[in-house]
Parts: sequence; C-alpha cells; structure tokens
Amino acid sequence: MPVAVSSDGAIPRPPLLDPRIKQLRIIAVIAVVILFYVLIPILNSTGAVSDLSINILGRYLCFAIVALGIDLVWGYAGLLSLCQAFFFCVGGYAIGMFLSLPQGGGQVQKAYNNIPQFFFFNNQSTLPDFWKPFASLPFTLAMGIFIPAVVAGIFGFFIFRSRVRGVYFAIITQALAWAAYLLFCRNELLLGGTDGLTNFYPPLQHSHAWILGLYFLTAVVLGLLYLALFKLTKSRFGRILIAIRDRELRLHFAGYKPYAFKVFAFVVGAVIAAIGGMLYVPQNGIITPGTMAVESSILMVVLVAVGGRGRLWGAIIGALVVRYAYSILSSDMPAMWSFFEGGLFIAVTLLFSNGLVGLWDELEENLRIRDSGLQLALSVIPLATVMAFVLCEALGLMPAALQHTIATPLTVMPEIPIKFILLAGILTSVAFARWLVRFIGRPRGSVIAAESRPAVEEAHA
Amino acid sequence: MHLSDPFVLQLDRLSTLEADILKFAPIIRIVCLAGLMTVLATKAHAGAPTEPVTPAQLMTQLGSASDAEVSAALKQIAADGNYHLITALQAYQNGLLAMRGTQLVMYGSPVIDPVRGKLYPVLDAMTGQPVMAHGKPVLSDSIAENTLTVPDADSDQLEQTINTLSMYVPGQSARQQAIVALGNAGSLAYLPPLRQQLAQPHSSRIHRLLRESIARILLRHGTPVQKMHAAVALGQIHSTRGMELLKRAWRKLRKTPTSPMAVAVRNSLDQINGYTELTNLLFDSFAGLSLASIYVLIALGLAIIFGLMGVINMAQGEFLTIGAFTTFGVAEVFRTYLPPSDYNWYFICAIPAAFLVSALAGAVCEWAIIRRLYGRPLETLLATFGLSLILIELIRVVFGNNNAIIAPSWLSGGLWVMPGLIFPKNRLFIIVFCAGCIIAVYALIRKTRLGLLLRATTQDREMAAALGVHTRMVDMLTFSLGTGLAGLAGCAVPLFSTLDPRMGQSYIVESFLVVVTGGVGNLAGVICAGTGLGFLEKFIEPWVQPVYGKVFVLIIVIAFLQWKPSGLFAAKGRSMDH
Amino acid sequence: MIHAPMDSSASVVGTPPAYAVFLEDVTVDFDGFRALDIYRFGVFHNELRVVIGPNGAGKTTLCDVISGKTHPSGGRVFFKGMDITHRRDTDIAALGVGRKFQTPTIFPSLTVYENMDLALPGRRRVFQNIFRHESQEDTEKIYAILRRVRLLDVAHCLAGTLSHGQRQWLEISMLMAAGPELLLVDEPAAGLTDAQTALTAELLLELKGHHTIIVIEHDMEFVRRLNSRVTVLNEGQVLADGPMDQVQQDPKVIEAYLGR
Repeated sequence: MPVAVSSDGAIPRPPLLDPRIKQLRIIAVIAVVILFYVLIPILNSTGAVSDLSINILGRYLCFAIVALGIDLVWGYAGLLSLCQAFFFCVGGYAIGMFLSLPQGGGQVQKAYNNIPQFFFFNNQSTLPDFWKPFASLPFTLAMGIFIPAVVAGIFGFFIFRSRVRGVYFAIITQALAWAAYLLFCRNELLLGGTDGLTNFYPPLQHSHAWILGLYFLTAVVLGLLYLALFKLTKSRFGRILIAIRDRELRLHFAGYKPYAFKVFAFVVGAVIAAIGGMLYVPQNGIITPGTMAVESSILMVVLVAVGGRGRLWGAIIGALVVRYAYSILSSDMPAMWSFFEGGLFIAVTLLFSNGLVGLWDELEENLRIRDSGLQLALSVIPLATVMAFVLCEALGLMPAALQHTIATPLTVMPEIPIKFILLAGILTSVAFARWLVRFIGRPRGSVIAAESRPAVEEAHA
Repeated sequence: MHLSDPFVLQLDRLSTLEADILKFAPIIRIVCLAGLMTVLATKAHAGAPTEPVTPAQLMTQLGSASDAEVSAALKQIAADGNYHLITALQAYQNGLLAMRGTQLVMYGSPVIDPVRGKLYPVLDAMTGQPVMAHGKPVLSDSIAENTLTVPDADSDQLEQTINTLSMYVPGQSARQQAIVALGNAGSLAYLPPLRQQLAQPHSSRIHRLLRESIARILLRHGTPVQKMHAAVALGQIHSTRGMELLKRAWRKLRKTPTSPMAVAVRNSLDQINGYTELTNLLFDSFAGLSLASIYVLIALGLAIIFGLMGVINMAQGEFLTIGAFTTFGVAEVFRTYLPPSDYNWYFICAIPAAFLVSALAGAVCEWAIIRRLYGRPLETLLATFGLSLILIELIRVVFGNNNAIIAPSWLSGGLWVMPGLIFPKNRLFIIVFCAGCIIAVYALIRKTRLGLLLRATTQDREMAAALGVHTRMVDMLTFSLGTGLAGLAGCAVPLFSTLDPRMGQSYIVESFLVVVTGGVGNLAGVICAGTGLGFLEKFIEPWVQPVYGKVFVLIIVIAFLQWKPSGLFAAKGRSMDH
Repeated sequence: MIHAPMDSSASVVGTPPAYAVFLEDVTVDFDGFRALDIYRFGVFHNELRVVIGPNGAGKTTLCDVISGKTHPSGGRVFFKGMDITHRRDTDIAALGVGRKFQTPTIFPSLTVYENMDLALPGRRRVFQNIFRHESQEDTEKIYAILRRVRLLDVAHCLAGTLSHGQRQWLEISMLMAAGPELLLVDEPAAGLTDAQTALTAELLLELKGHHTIIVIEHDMEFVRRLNSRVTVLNEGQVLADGPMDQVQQDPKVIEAYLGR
C-alpha cells in the first residue's frame, strides 16, 4: 500500500482504565469469587445455609450458564435465539438417560427388568438400542455436547446461509423449539413422554456431600466458561460478532462470510446451554419436555435482558436475580407471578433496556467523573438492595421480621410479605430521587458516558 | 329413541281443535309428498278417510291375546305409515303401554319427587300428552301390572314396524337415518316398504339411499340374480355402506375370480374405492382450507403490523383469545337477557363486537408499549411476549379456565355436497368469513384513504410524516386493525373448540411461520403461504401423526427459505438495509 | 490522457485481459423500472475511472451490480475475466472487490482501530480469528493510514461517535487497509469540506496505478481534480465517455444535466 506516512506523531494507546474503577472492579471480582467459592461452601458446611438453599443456588447457576451462551449469541452477535431451552434440555436428557440407568445410580426395579419403569408403559421390556451407550458417563457427556452442537450446526448452517436474519431467525428458532417440544412429548421417542425422566440416584438431591459437590462443580464450570467466553469475546472473533450485530451487510463486502461466524456462535451458545442442562438435571432430579416449552426459551432470554446485553457478567447476575424472583414470587404469591413476569418483560425493554449492567456502568461513570456522593448513592442503592435481597433469599438469611405478611384487599393477592413492600418502597423512592436529581442535580458528561460502554444498538433497522 | 320428540313437539304446536281432529279422525295416511312434510300436510289429508279402522283401534288391538291379531295390527300400522305411533310402540316394546280404563296410556321417563320418590308421568299413548286429573298431570308411583306384553312371536314384527315407521317421520335427516337403519338391519321384510317409497317422488338423495338399502338387503338375502344386480347397483351409487358386504362377498368369491358375480363385485369395489379416495381428497382440501383461513386471518394481522412498524407482535394470539372471549361474553348476554329464540343471533352481534374489543385493546397496547419501542424489533418481541403473559392471566382471572359456547343452530350440521361427502357448516362458514375479511382488508388498503396513508407510511415513514401524515395515528390505527383481525379470527374459533385463556398460543407459532414464508409486508404472500401451509398440514396429517406433520411443515419452511430467504413475495428495492 | 474506444477490443466470450471489470448487456429492473441498461462498460487494469450522472442515473446500481449486492436481470459481469454475474457478494469481495458505500457504512459499536482491523486482508475464516492476535506489522499499517487521514487521535473511540466526515474517511481508510484489486468508491467527497475533499482526491490519486478504481461522484471540482477518464450515465445508460473536458462539451451531457 503506497501511502506516504510521516513518521512523527505518537501512536495512541488504548485509554487506560480509571484507577478508581479498576479498584472497584478488583474488589467486586474478589468479593464475588470469595462469596461463591469460599463463603457459601463454608456457610453450608457449618449448617448456617441449608442444603436445600445450596441445591437451589446450584440449579440457578445452571441457568446462569445458559444465559452466558445467550449473551454471546444475542448480546454480541444480535441473534435472538428462542430455542436455547431446547439445547438445555438436550444436554439434560442426555445426562438424564445416564442417571436413569442402574449404571448411573438410577432407581430401577427387578420387576421391571432393571430398566427405567416408564418403558413398560411403552410396551418395552428391554432397553432400546439407542439407550445402551448412555450407560457410560464419558459417552453421555460427549453426546450431551455433540448432539446440540450438530443440531445447532446443521440448523444454523441452513438458516444463516440463506441469510435469514433478525426477527425471521427468532421466529424460526421458536418454531424449532415448539416442534422439538411436541416431539419430546411423544411416547414413541422412548424418552418418557410428557412425564420425562426421573427416579435418579436419590442422594444427588438429598445428601450434603453430593449437593455441595454439584454446586461447586457448577460454580467452577460457570467460572471457567465465563473466562473462556471472556477471551472469545475480546478476540477478533468477538469484534466480528459485534460487527455482525451492527451491520452484517457491510461485512459481506469486506469479504467475510458472516454466516460462518454466526453458525459458530450459535453452536457455542447451544453447547453452553447443553452444559447448563447437564449440570441442572442431576440437581433438579427430573427433566420433562415442559422445560423446553416455547415460553421457557423466552424466559431464558429475559435473564440476559434483565442483566444487560453484551456484557457477560450481566447475564449471570440477571439469571440469578430473575430466577430468585421467580422462586420467591411463585412460592409467596403464586397468582402474581404471571403478571410480574409479563411486567418484567415489558419493563426491561421499555424502562431499563441496559439492564443491571446499566446501573453498574452508571456507578463506574460516577466514580470516573468524581460525582457527588448523592449520585453515587443513587447508583449504588438500587443495585445493592437487589443484590442483598436476592442473596438473603438465596441463602435463607432473610430476617424473620420481614417475612410477615400484610393482608391486602386484592383477590388475586390476599396477602403480601413485608419484604416485598420494603423492596418496592426502596426502589420506587430511589427512582423518584433519580428523577428529581435529573432536573436539580448538576449537569454531567453524558457524551463521555456513552463512549465508555459499547452501545447496544439493534443491528436491524 | 330420539324420534319421540318431534311427535310431541308437533302436537304441541297444533291448536286444541286440530289436536282433536287428529285424535278422532279416521286413519291419517301420511302420503309422503316431497317437500310437504309439515303439519299442514297432515291437516290436508285428515279429512279424507279411506280406511275404516282408526289408529286407536289398531293400538288397542295390540292388547289382544291372539298373536295373529297383534301381528296383523302391527302390519297394518306399518302399512299405514302413521309415524305418530312410534312413541307408543316403543313404550309397548319396553312394557310401558297399558290400558287405563278405556284409555290407552304409556308411562313416561320417571321424575324424582323429594317426598314420593320416583314418579312416572302417565301419558296418553295416542297424543303423548299427560293424562290430566283434577287439572293436574297424573303421576304414578309405579308401573301398573296390566301393561301390554309383546307376544314373543311378534317381537320381530314390532321391531320391524317401528323401523319402518321411522322412515315416515318428516324431516330429511330423520328419514335418511331410518332408511340407512333399515339397510343395516338387512331383513327381507323391509323390502316392500322400501320399494314402495322408491316409487314415491322423493329427492335424489333419498332415492339413492333407498336404492342403497334395497341393494344391501338383496345382496344378503336375494336370489343369485338379485345379488348380482345389487352388487352392480352398489358400485354405481358408490355406496360406502355397501363396502363391507361387498368385501365379504368378495372373500367368498375369491377362488373364482372370473365368475360374473365376482367380476361384478370386484368392479363395484373398485368403483367405490375410487370414489372414496376422491371424497377424502375433497374433504382434506376442505379441512385444509378452513385451517388455512384461520392462519391467514391471524397472519394477515401480523403481517400488516410487521410490515408497517417492524413490530413482531407475540401477543397476537392473545388478541385472538380476546376476540373469542368477547364472542363468549356476547353469547352469555344473549342467553341471560334475551328469549332463547333470539339466541342464534348472538353470533351476528359478536363479529363486530370481537373486532372492536380486540382493536381497542390493541390501540391501548400500542399507545402504552409498542410506540415506545420503534426500531427495536427484537425488543418489541420480548415486550409483546410479556404482554401476552399478562393478557392470558387477566383473561384467566376474569373468565376462568374452560368455557364453551353453543354454536348457533344455523351453523350446526353439514352441507351435503355429494354422496359420502358432507362439509360441516361451521368450517364452511369460517372459510367464507375469512374470505370476506380478506376482501375487506384488501379493499381497506387499496381503496380507502386510510389504506393510502397506511401504504405511504409503510413505504417511507419520514417522507409520509413530512407530507403531513399523522404517522403516530396511522400506527395506532394499523395496530388496531391487525389486532382486530386477530379478534375476528377469535370470533370463529368457538365454533369448533372450547375456549381457554391459553388458546391463542396454539395458533401463534404457525401464524409466524406463515408470515415468514409469505414474505413480510406482503398480503398476497401471506394469503398464499397461509393456504399452502394449512393444506400441507392437513394433507400430511393422514400419513403421519399430527405432531410429525408440524415438524415436517417446519422442515419444509426451512427448505423453502433456502430457496427464497425473504419469503414468497419479497419486496424488491434499492434501499440498503433490508 | 487518451484512451482507445472501448468497443474495439471487447469480445463476447471472456474479456480481454486489459479490462479489470467488464459489463456486457447488463440490465437491472426494479419492479418494472429499468434502473440500469448498459450495453458495454469496461475499466482497464489500474485505471481510475469516474462515473458521473444526474440523480437516478444508475450510478450506485452500477456499483451494486459489480459488488454483487444486486444481481442483474440480464447480461453478464466480468471481473479479471471471470464471470461474476451470479456470484454472491461475499465471494466477489474475496476475489478482490472492495467497496465504500454512498452513506458511510461503518461498525458503530467498534472503535476506529477495530474497524480498521476488520478491514485488513486475510483472516476471513472463523478459527483464524479466535486464537491468533494481530501482528505488529498490521498495527503499524493501521496507525499509518489513520495518521494519514487524521483519525489517529480518535483511534480508540467508538466509530459511532465520529462525525460524518470522519466516517467517510474511516470507510475510505478501511478500503485502503483492505487494499483490494478493485475499489468501488461511491461518493467519497459527499459532506466533506474543501480541504478534506482535496485530501481525498490526493489519496485516490496515490492509489491510482496500483489498483483499479471506480469513483462515483457528483462534485465536479473533485472530478476535475482526479483528472481521469469519465463515464456519464443517464437513465441507466452510458451517455458519454472520455476525458472530463470532452464530456463537458457533449451536448447530450449538457442536456441531461440541465434538462430540456
């Protein structure tokens, strides 16, 4: 390239992180690592946190794993996949098949030829051939990764190669999830029909050692996957995914084949979902086709939307927050969950489309521009309140005083626990205060704020 | 038997005087004139006595001790064709007919009285009206001992008499059923009345059934020559009911396949098989078309909304549910506040109501949610999904889980197309209804000013706004139109299934596939794709399970998108990003 | 500069090696509207050709046809003697056709540097992008170009924050970084100041002789500065062809620009 270049002029380095932000991040990372890998196991061993809480946390971490994959596919490449629950279940069914067999500790009976009981409702007295290899754990693990990878690969290849994009892709994946759900409900598939697979080795959900072990395994896998995806998204590959999200057509004219990258991202997302499924099923004790219904996939996407797209740790936080919200609401106020869930979908798109990540970014920004203590507090309080609430619920440490309920005149919700009123009160007052501050506070450098984080724009106009 | 109702009902409608005439008139001979099956016909012939014996006398003769006399009476009743006596004869068959003094009475089905326990209403055998004493209907504690018993030797005769009489009951469907029943019974004794009816001027459908029943009886019991003719006749009229007999005959004749009889049977079987295939094909097409029209109606709304605003409305199914429940509500209002005779009209009122309610709901949603999410199609997808969850739950709270409404009577039953092929009227209505809606939408978009504004905004929003088009308003109206169309589709759903808050979900995925296949923003594409997918699904279903049919449809759609990635009728243009 | 009339050497089957791009009987229809109808159009190897014409003349459509964004309704398109009429845009780009769009088209969520990095030749496969890191050489090349177009200061800013002119240059820079054999440059001077326009012309002239370049432009001053052979399109057809001074005298061209 014969471009004359003068040798003067210093080459700019990428801007360094503000030391305060760096400090904050280091503290946050250390805190999270200690909490999940040290503190929680210790609390569990001393009995302060029940085995049940650990089991639930372990299961929710599996959703966090799926959310990581969705964030790669949706947050980075802009592909809204509505069939992640299907991949999750493929992994789950694979491990479920292993766990159903006597080799995997499954509860089988001599009366039923030592094979899973449901076969007898299908008039099968012997193990079908395709089940036999699943008696081996390595084979099962390999298949749990291989099958979703192949399905996602073939499906993705045909979809992306024909340049099906955006909403079209979402609809086609939804149709896939729907077709798969209908298929898995059939008894002919010999996977237990609508009842799914269960009767696994009981200690998986009941013995302290197994529960803690599985939790730890899940947490470690989550950590490793996070690191791997972090590297991946920071590589040139990650930048190409963002370019695809921004302007896929432009890449065509730069000689890239975006479909190859999309297929790869889709396959990685599918494999990660399947890994989540494989860790989920032993802790959950049952896998049914209901887990891969059309709504479940969309609910998984919302985990990422709440956390904040395009930022991996946001997916993890979002997953934990939403799952706990689900479990708390569905146990304390079952009639309200659907309304809350629907409201969450609307709120997360309408009101805070940057998710929890957005709050954190604001916090960092406040630190960077040395904002007032009030501003800082207004960023910290909602984040800290939500985190504290979720942690207390997760570890069963919610003060008893807050567990009391107050009667309400609503028929759908006869009583409401104090903790929700408190939470809603804090969040509402902070929101109000922020609204006030926007008008009476001092002006802030919003242009720089926009620069410091990747703008999550829709690729499809 | 259900045939008793028309009898009672008919008499109810007569004035007392007419009822008296009917009671005391000499034999009323029902000459089955085509098309004149009403009471008027009965009146016309009431004054023309030709036989000396009254039906009452004949009935009383049943109490005779002599088998022969009973048999003669039954034969005479059958020959007279006085179908009014069926109820009484059935009571006789069940041992519920008795003499009460000089009056012949029968016992009705028991009613439960809190004090006296089971009570049997005493009815006049000839009219079916309750016997009155002191101005009150007589109720009997038990069935009297002196009921008339059917002599063993005459039980077959009685059965045959009842069956034969059924054939004279006015009304096409009742008569058809009776004729088929005679053919099913297959006794030679039915030949004379059937042949006698054949000589009468009936509609071609009745004639065909008569010939069919006669042929079926002859194929069983006739002489070899008659059998042969019967086999040929069954083939000629493509009788599916005769197939079993023909097959049985063929099994016997298989060893001598060249005998004339065997050839005749074989030919007839082939004829019937070919015909059955044809009718099945036609019926599948029909069913496919009716399924397709629902898809098209929902997908049309989706496509309009997506084409204009780039919004994928996941809650479209719920607007269908809203339409369906509006129909339910209107039906409830009619049922509660209006006389039963007006109930049938609820559907006419429900159509605009369903459209307006779901359009209004759509307008509210557009105002509250959708318009804040422009240019972010994937996020509208999530938001509208949330909306759908809320709507489902709201409907559940308001209406509860399972509701069903009775379709208006003018939509029940079927439309006879050709022998062996009946199109259910409700499905037929859905097709016509959807076709009407599609034409209306086309007219709206092509011929009205609103349509012009809509098309302008779809093609270039900014330019339209610059020209003074209130695009926000157009958006809202369009969204309402789209959801209103779903509501109209919802109006049709209760005609063939029960209502459930989640029912919209079962249509939504397929409707999306229709939009994707048809090409977004192109209504002709949507109509073609909807029809195509509906047909495809219905044609695959007979071969595989419905579930695999759906999977197969998905695969076909993906394969199709390889060929035409932006759908059937992709918009072509110079703009950079689509 | 004097050029041979292009009809003389064109043969129907295959193109003479002198032509880098050659269009033959190409027509493009949009729903009945004939956007392009070119009997013959060829650009020599390492030639800089300017295509001008009034609005709606089919200039951008010509670019679209060559780069594979639009497939012609009829006729054939050759690049380096290969028939690329029915090839996909990605394959055509891989053969060495680079493009700058009329409205600057960059990746707003990536930094300027990252935009440039993606434009560099090579590393088009998935796995080449996951494990390998960019070489020192590549980095230097990127910074050299950015310095030239005065984007060095914003090298690590998000491209979405750039001004219109900066985006124009970023896209031109990306084209330079990619260094394809054929550059399709659609309106590089639109929205630039005079000084910036001058620099753009300078850059293009530097590339001339090493690459085949087709420039589409409205700005006559800019076109004059490029001092190259000009093709005038009007209503989808080639109206005139030759040096700038010559076509400016052409009555047909004057009529097309000024109207009847």
